[in-house]
Amino acid sequence: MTVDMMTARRNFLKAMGSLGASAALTACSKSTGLGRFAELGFPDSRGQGPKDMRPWARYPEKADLLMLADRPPLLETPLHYFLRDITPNDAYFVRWHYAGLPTHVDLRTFRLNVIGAVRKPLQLSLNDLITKFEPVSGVVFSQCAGNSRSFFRPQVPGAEWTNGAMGNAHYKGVRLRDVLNMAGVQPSAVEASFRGLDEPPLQSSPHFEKPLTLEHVLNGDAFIAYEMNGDPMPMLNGFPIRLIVPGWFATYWVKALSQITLRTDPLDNFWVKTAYRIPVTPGHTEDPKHPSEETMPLTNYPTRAVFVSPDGTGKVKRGIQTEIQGIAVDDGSGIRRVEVSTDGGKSWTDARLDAVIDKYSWRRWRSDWRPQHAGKYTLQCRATNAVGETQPTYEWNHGGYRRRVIQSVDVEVV
Amino acid sequence: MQTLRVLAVLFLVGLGIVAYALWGRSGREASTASAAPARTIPIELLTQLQPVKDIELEYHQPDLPPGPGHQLFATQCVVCHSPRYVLNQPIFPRKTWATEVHKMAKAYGAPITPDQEPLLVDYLVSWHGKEDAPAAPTQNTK
Repeated sequence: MTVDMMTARRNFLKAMGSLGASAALTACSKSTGLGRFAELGFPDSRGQGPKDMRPWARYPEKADLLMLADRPPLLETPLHYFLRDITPNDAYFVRWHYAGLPTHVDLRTFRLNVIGAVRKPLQLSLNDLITKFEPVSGVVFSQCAGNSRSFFRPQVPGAEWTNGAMGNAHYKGVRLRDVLNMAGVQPSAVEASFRGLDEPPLQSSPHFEKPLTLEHVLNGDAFIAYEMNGDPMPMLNGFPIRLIVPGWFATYWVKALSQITLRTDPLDNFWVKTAYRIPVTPGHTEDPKHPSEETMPLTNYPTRAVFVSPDGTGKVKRGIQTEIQGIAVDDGSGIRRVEVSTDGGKSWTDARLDAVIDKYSWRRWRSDWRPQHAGKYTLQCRATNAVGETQPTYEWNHGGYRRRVIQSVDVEVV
Repeated sequence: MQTLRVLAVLFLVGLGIVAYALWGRSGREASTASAAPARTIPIELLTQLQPVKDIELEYHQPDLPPGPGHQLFATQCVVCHSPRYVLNQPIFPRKTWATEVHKMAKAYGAPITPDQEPLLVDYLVSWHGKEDAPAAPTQNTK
């Protein structure tokens, strides 16, 4: 999966063409005629959007992915990859806040610095992490806080992901608490904050840094991964090490992790105070006309089921059995039930759940369907987890975050 | 004579094989997705055997349409991000673009002065936006 450096150099971004569904058609200057377009369109199932017309791009160490933006890159995983339980490294989605993302790492000089309220500040090399700590591993799901943002109505600004800003991978690394215990956390510390090698473009831009409470870092399941699916991480996914925060949104999974600061006062930057916040209301929903004044940082994944097949673009033959398939996720409590409706939510049947892969992995579900008549069917799926959390039919928040509304896919039966 | 004929036939067969091989190289192999995957170096040997990872990013920025504000956008906005960050958005009303431009200046520290904001908003509305609907609901984008 991992491509070596030489190949990576050759694997430059290729093939793309901008094309616009809209008046926005400002053609890509380089390869207008050569554009390759998504055959796996994911039109809004409520008929609110055009077919997926986003360009593909191939970045170093990556496969052809849906390109939302080029600098800094926002690359979405095409839905068909989710037919597999593990998302390959080269297909894993990419999201950076700043164009100053790392493109060159020398392991001879790279160090993870542990500083602040500790008895002994640390400077750990990759080899230190591999040799001085007990390794841990697991299959962990991750998801961008704005995954599926494009389905919010009214639409909100931000990366307009469909459902592909997520993935399920096997990580190996070391427990965060083991690293912090080696440094010796001082009693005055209340929080640990995490920085990577990415740099803001201007001095005036806020450095990307995210905090976790001391309780979370010392008693939770967070770990520092140096392997993804058995290989070193792709540069665009955080080489050489990345923070893994199981059950929490990927905004906390700091890539190319280079600095952990034990803080005696909570971090108070743009990324905590302004961005990645959701309303403090039941269901974290708000009225678009009267947005909530009070907000809080988003944290864990809501319970949610997503269709993988059918994806709404193909046709299904009547009288023939079709397998409806998808994945379901939550924050690690455990998916207990997934129901499927083929009549727009009027009636529901239980889907079969595949075996549990791992505590923080997604779980696959399947349901057989034999439509008898031609026409348009609205499929819906709804998950419930071990603590009884299930999904609403409508929610909205001004950031387009943490989507958990029941998904609908329109399928044409012929 | 006989020898020559045999040699000629052998020559032509050889030529055919070479041509086939070359055609295979240039055409079919080039069209496959990627070269054979490299042998992966175990992570504990990476620092010793291949300590440097280096990628080169080639960007594919869309062209900017001409018009008032074009120059300002090309310098003060594109310094940090691709114009694709505009194109990948829905066709937002003026109000939303105004909020976004202000957020770029205030929260992200973009080099945009308060008197430059309206010009950038005009440019964004003409390029990838629309005027506010008279009775449109407020769209909060804080």
